[in-house]
Amino acid sequence: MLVVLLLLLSLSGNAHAYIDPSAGSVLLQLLLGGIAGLLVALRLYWNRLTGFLRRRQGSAASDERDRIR
Amino acid sequence: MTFLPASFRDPDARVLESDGPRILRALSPRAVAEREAVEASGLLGELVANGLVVDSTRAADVAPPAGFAAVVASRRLAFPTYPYEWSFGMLRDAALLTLDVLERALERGATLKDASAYNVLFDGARPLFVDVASLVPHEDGTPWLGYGQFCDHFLAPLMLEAYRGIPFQPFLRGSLEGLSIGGQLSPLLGWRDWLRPGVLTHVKLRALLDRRTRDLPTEARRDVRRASLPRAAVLANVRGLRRLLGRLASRAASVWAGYAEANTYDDALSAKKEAFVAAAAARAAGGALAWDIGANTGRYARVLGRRFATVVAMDADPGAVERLYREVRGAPDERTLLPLVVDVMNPSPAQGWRGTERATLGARGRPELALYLALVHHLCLGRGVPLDGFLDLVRETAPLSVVEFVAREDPMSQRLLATKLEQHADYDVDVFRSLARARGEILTEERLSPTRSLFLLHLRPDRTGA
Repeated sequence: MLVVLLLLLSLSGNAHAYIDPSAGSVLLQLLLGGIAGLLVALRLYWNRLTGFLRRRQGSAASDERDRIR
Repeated sequence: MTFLPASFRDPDARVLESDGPRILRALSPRAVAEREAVEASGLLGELVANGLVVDSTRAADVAPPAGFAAVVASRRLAFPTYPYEWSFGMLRDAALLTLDVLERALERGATLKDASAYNVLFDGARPLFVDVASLVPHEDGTPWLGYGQFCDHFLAPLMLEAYRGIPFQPFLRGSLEGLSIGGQLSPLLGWRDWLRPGVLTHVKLRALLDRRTRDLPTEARRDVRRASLPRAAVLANVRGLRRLLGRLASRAASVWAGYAEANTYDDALSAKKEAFVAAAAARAAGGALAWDIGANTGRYARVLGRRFATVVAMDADPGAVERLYREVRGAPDERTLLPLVVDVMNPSPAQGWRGTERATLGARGRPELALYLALVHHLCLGRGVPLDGFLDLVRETAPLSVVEFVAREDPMSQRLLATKLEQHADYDVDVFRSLARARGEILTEERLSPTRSLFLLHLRPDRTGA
């Protein structure tokens, strides 16, 4: 389950906070975030996967994309 | 101006040393920008207008310290209190207030950057969110970073009392970071608790995730830190927590909560006592702060409330404090009466970093008048405090004091002595009188019954230091 969760993690802005939110507490919130959170995470994961496949298919265009990323 | 040694946890907002009617907070340039954003959204004004958050304004007359951009001032509450002095309902209301503030913030694009129970104080019997610098703009996609702290500071202690019947106060006093969900609460909840609201998710699953992520490599930790959660999901979590809190009720047993019905007084005696307390209150000069030590039902604290702006009604029994809190909450004396769990045998100490973060009870405000009604026999006969030690406490607490002396022949004293070998032969009203006179004056004395007398004492503070 943890592996799945970690895979589902996607990137967002890096908010500052002086307290240390434990990794467990953040992961639990993601879980409790339920379907809404899950769908968003899946979509982002899907984008990454398709991006990866496209890179493998494309030739010169992929270099272009990598520079943009 | 220097910083309060206790105020360091949030480097962007530090409280300055001052003893006036204002609390002064220095804000970093970042905190100023965040405050301006929260103000511009109308959120801060709404929260203040609804009585959820303390009012604060720029203090133009105070120069910000080096590295800081502004100073904001808010009013100093009459008597700061700590979560380990609150009853179950007080901690729950403080938790609900925190969620209220957070929910309104999220709806307006802001959030709370932490969820410390110490961000809430009680203004009389009303919780008030005082850490105005906790409100910051919310970056969409960020989970609530205060969730873990909210669980440790609020949810875990409330669950401990609701599901195990164990009063949380000693635990919170022992750990200023709250009760750890994984390390402390989870082991106390067994299989049969799994179906209780919130246990499976907020406790067991959380404990599992905490265990599994303990050895997470730094890079993976950074990934977790950047985890994304839509705002709607954060809001749903907050509302879920609110529903959960609404279902928690204390199961702790109380010694005193039924005391008023079972005690040995009759109404005529209570009326006499009320009149004596009212007369004592009329002699106090200022009328700012009074304490009722051993307040029980709060009957006499309410009498003080007619004369004093703030009356701290203390009792060692969380059940009695909880009952008083529920009675006072929403009642006309809500602004005056502050119920508090305090064991006079072991009052709150100075603790935290370098012993400065949390102050002793006495350091937070000196009362002009203190009541000790039907308390002395519990301390001296029940707990073995010498009479002169009791009078030293009375002398150092307040200039004016009302003491109800309960003789050893009284049925309540006899009950305390029934199981004891030591009979405390020096416990006697004549000894009490002479010890009081050695420390000051007995202004009035009134006999309530053959075994009970009321004293109004004016004792001098001990200048010898002995």
